[in-house]
Amino acid sequence: MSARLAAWACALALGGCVIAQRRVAVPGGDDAAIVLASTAMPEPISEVGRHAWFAVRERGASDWHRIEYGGFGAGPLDGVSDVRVHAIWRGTEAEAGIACLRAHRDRAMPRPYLMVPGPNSNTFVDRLLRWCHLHADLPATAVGKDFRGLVGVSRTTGGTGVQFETAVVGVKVGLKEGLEVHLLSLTFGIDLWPPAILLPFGPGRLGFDDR
Amino acid sequence: MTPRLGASGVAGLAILLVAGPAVAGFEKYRYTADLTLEARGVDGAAGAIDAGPSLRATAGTRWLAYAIGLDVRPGGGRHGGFAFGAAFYPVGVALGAGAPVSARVVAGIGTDGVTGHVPFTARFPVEAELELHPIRAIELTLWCEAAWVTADRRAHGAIDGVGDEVTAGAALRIGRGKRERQQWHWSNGWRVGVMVQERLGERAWGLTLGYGIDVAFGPIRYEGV
Repeated sequence: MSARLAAWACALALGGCVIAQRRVAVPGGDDAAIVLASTAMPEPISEVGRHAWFAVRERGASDWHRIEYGGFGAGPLDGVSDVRVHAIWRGTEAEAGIACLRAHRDRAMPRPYLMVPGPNSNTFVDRLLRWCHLHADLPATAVGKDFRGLVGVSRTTGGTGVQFETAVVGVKVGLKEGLEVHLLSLTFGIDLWPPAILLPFGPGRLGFDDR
Repeated sequence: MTPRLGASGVAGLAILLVAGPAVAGFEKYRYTADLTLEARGVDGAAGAIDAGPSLRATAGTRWLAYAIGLDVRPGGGRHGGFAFGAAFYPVGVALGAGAPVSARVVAGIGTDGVTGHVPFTARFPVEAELELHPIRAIELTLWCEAAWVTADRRAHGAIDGVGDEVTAGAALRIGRGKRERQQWHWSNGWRVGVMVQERLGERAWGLTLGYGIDVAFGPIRYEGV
């Protein structure tokens, strides 16, 4: 067996390793804040599916509220297992974001709900990210994040690229997002910044944590 | 070369697949689904590295069930080129689906190839698979596929197997599993395996690496899945 094949196998075996992972905690203080987080799904799909949500804190408040479809808890970072934080917005950006999330929450609801390929709870978060200009990427294993109906074109949630999607295959290209290929809701690709290989397993990336 | 199966043969197979579970008892239907997300790397001049989902599903009784399957595998050739393979298996039969020992045979139509290296062709694959679950968290899979192709350049590519091309492999999956309720079992885990492929007159070895999920619904008395 060639060395290339062995290297390829080792790289895939390490799938799920995320370097410099963002700390899983909500920001302190009482300013407005939005946290984008996700959790692994319950078994048996814990390694191939994640559920995302927003946790928001109004300015001057100390308690957190979740904006999501479905869910696995009431606390800002409650989840099934392997909870991860993907982005945090604070201050005036968060204040505007919270108002936007609340204004568009009902419209973003997945109707009718379909676990695969979508629309589902991750489609809900993806729509709100795009509509509210909250630039962040959902993990590759957040199945449904790229659902655009039978055929659709849109800006990426990261804000520096575009994507073309069908219900079966799709592609995302962006300056920061890199190149993603979507096949039957599975994501394969290369994230340019922070650099990582995108895989449809575990946290969805092999490389540096997304920022 | 294409499979030689006359109209009477097709009708007989259909009756067997449809009537078999019915005779055994509709009220005891069992449903299983096996999803494998797997990357495969095969050495050799016709080798490729590809990855994608493979789905097998069954519906039937504890002894006999109807089985279907779907494979989609994009990738790249070992020596360049775009590789793609897909197959749909609308016809199949499973024995002991969801049990510690189960077997499945599916047949269908597909295509695969590597641009510039392996000509794309229509394929008629027949896949046989034996699954062993000594405990729910461990799965050993032995499988073999014989395929007939329409492209002349790929005909008779198997060295000493049945059909124009032959692929066989074994994989071990280790993970977790649980009997959630009496009517629902699941197991999953990382899976590693080896495979050997005969095509274009060449025998080549390969590795497989992936993740598999099995679920089974219905009256399941075994500790399988």
